[in-house]
Amino acid sequence: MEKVQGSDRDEGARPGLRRQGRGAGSRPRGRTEILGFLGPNGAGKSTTVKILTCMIRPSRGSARVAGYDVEQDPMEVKKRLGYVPEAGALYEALTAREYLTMVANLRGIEGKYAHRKVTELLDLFGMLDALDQLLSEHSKGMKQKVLISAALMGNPEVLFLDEPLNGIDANAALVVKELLRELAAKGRTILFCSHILEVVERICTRIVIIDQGRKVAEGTAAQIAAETGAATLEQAFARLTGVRDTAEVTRGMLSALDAPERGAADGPR
Amino acid sequence: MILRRAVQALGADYSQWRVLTGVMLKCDLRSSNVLQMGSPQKKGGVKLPWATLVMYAFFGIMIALTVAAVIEAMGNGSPSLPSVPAVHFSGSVALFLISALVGMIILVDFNSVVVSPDDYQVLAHQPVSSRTYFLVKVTNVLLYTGLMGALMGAPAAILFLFWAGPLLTAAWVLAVAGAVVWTSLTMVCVYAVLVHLIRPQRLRRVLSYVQLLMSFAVFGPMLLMQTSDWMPSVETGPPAALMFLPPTWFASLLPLAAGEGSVTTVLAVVAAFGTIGVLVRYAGGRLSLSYAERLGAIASASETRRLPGRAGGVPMRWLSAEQRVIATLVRGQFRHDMNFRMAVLSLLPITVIYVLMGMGDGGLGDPFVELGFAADGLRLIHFAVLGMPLVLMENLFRSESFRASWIFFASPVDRAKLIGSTGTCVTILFLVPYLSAVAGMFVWSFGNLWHGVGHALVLGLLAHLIVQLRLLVTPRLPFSQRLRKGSRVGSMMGLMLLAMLAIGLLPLLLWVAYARTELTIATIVLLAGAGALMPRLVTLRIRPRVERHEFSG
Repeated sequence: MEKVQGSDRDEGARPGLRRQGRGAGSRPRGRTEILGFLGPNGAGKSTTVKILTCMIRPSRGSARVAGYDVEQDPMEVKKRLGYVPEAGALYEALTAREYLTMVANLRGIEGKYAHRKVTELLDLFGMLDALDQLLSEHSKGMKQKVLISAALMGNPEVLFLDEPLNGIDANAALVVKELLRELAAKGRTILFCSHILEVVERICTRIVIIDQGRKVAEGTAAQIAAETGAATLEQAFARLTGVRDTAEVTRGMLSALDAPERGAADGPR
Repeated sequence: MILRRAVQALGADYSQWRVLTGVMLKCDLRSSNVLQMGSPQKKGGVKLPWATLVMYAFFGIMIALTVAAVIEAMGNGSPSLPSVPAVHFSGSVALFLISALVGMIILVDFNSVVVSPDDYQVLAHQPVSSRTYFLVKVTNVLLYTGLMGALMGAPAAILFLFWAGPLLTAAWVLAVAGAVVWTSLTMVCVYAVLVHLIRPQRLRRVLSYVQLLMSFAVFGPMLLMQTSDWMPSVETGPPAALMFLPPTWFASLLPLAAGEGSVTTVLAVVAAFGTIGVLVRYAGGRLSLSYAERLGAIASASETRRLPGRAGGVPMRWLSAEQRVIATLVRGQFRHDMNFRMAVLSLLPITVIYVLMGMGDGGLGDPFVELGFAADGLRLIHFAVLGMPLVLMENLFRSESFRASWIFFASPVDRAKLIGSTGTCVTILFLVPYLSAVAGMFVWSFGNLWHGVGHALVLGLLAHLIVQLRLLVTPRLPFSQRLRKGSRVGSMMGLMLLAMLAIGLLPLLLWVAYARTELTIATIVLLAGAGALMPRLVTLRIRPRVERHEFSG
């Protein structure tokens, strides 16, 4: 349900998505799935997601979400998407109820319907006790649950999740994963960005790996592993994104830890 | 219903506008106590910043007194029935002061209302149109500035009601509203233009310098008000030159309401409200969510220029470990925290203007020659120099990156010593360079090297003591408190009033200290000794408190 064609974002020396024919996420409309979107830090995952959620303009190329062009019809796109940002920005001076009601109102859900929806979503995460607590008082995991609830608020056609399981407890993570499967089964499209490869491998029906703005692999976890001659997705990812020998890196770090602490004596006590 | 139609006529979504305006207001009013454990706002609710409101009401009384003084000075002789030119001129002066203060409020306290990257992160992916966002931001700014404007204009309105009748009072209220809206929109437009024109990588730095220039623009014309050449006679209104200033345009409503309008006053009123229309149109095109996108880019963009690997300027090896920690933090914040940088840099125009005012007010007399109260021209400079530490300390505690102060609580560090070191670092990093410049000016002005350096040294030692006393009263770690919108100008002015009281007593000290060379040396030794002891005293006083809070934060 989302499609990116040669989309790019110029940010000086920062590597963005480079021009490509039919690039990452390019697929015919109508199929629904959970697409895992992987890449090392700085590969361009968040930039791609920001382009698809109409937060930044592509400087080249085009992208369509739910059948609408992100540049031509951003409001139509925004009405149809839910987004959990990696940064997790919230208005922390609001309570969870106030924040979610605001999101509901912005999406045209008002009055008792908004109230019911807010309560239902937070109940899903066992957060009814924290409904009227300021978000600044919430733990990282609780904030993440509020962000996920906010993303689900408008019953979106497409969900963009950037590290959605960050900080949330194992039980809530199970709920989220099951929820995503159910949503996909009901016809929603989900783009799932994460560094936790096990989770991606387990819940995503298809995976795209990007590096330095380019798609370097696409397929199921087994297909990608087979194509790279690796035993697991983790090893395939390491090969594709050019990581240094992990044993060598570890030895280097341990050596740095064991180095004499020069100047430790006159450091703050 | 009318409001709904008005909002819809402006092309915004009424429901979204209502929701977002309420949310922004709630966030602002709560932000002062958001992080206090067990605060009454924990479950929502809002708290008005009463101290700030009282402070602006106090400014309003001062402005009303200025109006009365101007009318009196214009030679009417009968304040029970002021002439229309006197009302026009006094109204212009009062509106100028209100506009300057509104400008300063936005500059110091509410720039985050205009320049807020948070909105982008939270709202950019929501179906909110640029028009709606623009209207929310403008409503947000106008709510604050309107409230401040009302508090500052109300006492003068009461004065006009008794002196000049209800029609003129109504005109005054309209003039205040117009001037406040004009100033707010102008500030919004300046920010919007800058954000539009400058690359995100450089924007943060450029904004701080532009804010510095803008503070000159806000304070600068106050200097003009000091000279009596501007005071017109009773027959005429404001001087022709003042007719170029927007506050005078709005004040032209007063003669119109009194039935004594001229072509000039009609044109001025047309210009006043016409420019508001132009500003609305211009800002409407600029202050959109794509504007917020640029602000978001400021938050994520980093300047590519190379920073020195180690702190230059101050020889760090002479500092203790705690002082080095604080010095590194303060220098880093000064480089990258726009609010802190602006707060520090805004002290420069104030000092320059006070120096110029002091020079215009009978020259800068050598306090070693003109003992005690005789050296009147120095009063404002004393005010700037001794008020500076208070303003600095007020800004040193607060930062948008206050959450990063967890590191002090999770490190094996003596926090009492850290707090004690803060004062020393402020003295070394800011007071010493600042007072060196002031000393140079004293030497040039007094024509005597020792007198200039000696006086700057005494002021510097006093300023250092003020810094330490501030820490003793409210010991806090630097940059560990959340920024409170709307409170900085108020608290700054409150501190300045306290400083004014203290500075009133300064000539007595100088009278004794500068009477003989031995007394001067003794005063310097005494102040230096007290200054050296104070950090230890601060550390001793706060250690039990810090230890008590070791596990409770």
